[in-house]
Amino acid sequence: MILNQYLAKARGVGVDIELLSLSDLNLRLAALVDELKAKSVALPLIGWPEPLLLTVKTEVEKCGSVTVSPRRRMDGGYEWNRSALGSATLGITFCGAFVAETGSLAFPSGPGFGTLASLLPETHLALSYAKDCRPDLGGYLAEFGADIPSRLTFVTGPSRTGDIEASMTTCVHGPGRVLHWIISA
Amino acid sequence: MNPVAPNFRNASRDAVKNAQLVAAVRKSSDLLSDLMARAVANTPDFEALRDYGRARKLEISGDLEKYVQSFTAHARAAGAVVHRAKDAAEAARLAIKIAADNGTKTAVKGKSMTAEEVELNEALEAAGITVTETDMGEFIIQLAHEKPSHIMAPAIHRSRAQVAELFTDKLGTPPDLGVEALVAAARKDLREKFLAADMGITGGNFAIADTGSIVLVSNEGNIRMTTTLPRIQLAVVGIDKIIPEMADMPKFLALLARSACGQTISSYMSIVTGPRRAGEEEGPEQLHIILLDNGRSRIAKGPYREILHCLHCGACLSHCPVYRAVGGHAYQATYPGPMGSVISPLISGLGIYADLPNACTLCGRCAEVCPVRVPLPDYLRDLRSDVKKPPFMMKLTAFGANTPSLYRLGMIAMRRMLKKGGKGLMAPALKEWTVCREPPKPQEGESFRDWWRTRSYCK
Ligand code: SF4
Repeated sequence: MILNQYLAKARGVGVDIELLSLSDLNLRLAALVDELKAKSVALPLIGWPEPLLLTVKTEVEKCGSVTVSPRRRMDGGYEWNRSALGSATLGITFCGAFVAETGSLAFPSGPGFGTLASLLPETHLALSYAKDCRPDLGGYLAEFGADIPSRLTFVTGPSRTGDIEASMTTCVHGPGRVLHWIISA
Repeated sequence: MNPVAPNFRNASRDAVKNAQLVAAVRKSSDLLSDLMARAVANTPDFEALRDYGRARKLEISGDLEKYVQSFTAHARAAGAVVHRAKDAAEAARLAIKIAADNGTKTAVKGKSMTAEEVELNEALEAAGITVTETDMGEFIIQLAHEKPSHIMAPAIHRSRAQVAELFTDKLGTPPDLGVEALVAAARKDLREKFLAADMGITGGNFAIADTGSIVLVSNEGNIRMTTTLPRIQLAVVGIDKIIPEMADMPKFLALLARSACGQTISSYMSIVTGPRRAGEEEGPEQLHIILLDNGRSRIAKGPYREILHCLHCGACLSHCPVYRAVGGHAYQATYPGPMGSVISPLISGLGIYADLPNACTLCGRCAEVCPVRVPLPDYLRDLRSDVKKPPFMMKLTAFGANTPSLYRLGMIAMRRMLKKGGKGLMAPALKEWTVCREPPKPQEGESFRDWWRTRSYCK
């Protein structure tokens, strides 16, 4: 039910959604990397279910792409190589919550899983499990209680502007193309 | 006749003659109004949401200081540095000090009407800091050295062709580019500036008292860049943007997004709570928040308190017949249109913007569309009498209209004069109305009063 509501909302704002099973993931990833001729792919390494991350990283590298990820510093913190990140054509992130009411993907920040991978590349692919769909924004925000992350970002469709003659154009500063692959259990 | 004081009148006279400007403003306003109408029609409980918005805002504006204190405490607990500026000059001074203390040379900036209000760019530039506007509309008008002409769509007055010409001139792009190519050119130019900037400057759409968060919405992604890449972040937020709880935010967002451009939510929403935390690879090292008063506490205690409820959605501008006819620049104020005609004179203390409340036909469309039901037409009418006692002619007219025998005489004289094409003894009284238009012809045959007398129920 709420998944259908999400699909209608998010497709309505131009998110390219696919429902797929885990066994299809490799093939679809290979096809996407090939289609985009993505030489480098931005890929946060934290905040993912381990097996899923491993599948993605292995497949992307098998296709001949380099993955760009936040590096671990001596003090335990993380750090992006900004120029490498800037040249990535595709960003792949895990999305642990998406909201049916608004058709939004939610990205809390945290060490190792910041939000730049979903912002700087021209194409952004978000991977989720179907079970992670939330009915509404208010309910999702309430999950955090007083413990809000430093950046909580909601992405609803591609980057766009209507500032020239109110005609909608995509890919202003963020990705012009947003893909959301929802993996059924 | 209550004439509109010279500056709005002259500017608007030039504006209505500018066919390109009128066409551009009308085209975009129509589109925005249509988008809003469609979104509202698809939201069955929108009226209830508006009631909620107004009721909640009344609670806030009735106890503003309490929420300012609560926001300040929670934002500080999250690690932000919160400053309070009593007026525009103090806000500008604080911003310069923050920049100087951190040795910042370049700043990228998201669209912020509050920053316009304190003339932040001018102040920072004067202190040697280069500020680049990154919102597409703001980027255009910064290149053109103009001011925004709409609070949501700052470059609404410019056509695609004019933008193309401007980009060719300033960025060296090929002539006559289409919208997509123009956007691509701006993306390229701005991407480098984002990556290099020391400081990111934003406003804030909402400030949440119970968490100390700033909520920022944008469609382009420039706000995300501005709040993530530079090492210093500065948010300049009017104290009227504070709402009590995170739980209120989705409802106010629903009102704002639908009214601003017919969306359920903007492409991006960033909830910023404090600076980067230990171990995080992104986000600013310092987050400064300047809470701007600039008359708001005073307004909250006066008869126009509800203007502080404004969400800055821009709907009243796009729906206003005066705004649509002259565009935003004619108002010569930071905030144009109906909301601007109320807030501008209130902020400046009925000073130089005293004529703006007259830039209104009292048609009431603004109040009909306002998502938080700000009684704009009532305020505009009341402000007129605050600014200026009614002139003698108006008092005379009022006396005449209240005295049946005088009214009758007046009407006879009026008919006679209008028959003669607006000439004669009473013509000077009509001068204000006949400067730009022909006086109407009186209707043929019997007058309304004669007709009325023949009705059976009058006998
Ligand atoms: S006064 Fe109302 S309609 Fe006008 S900008 Fe503010 S919220 Fe929108």
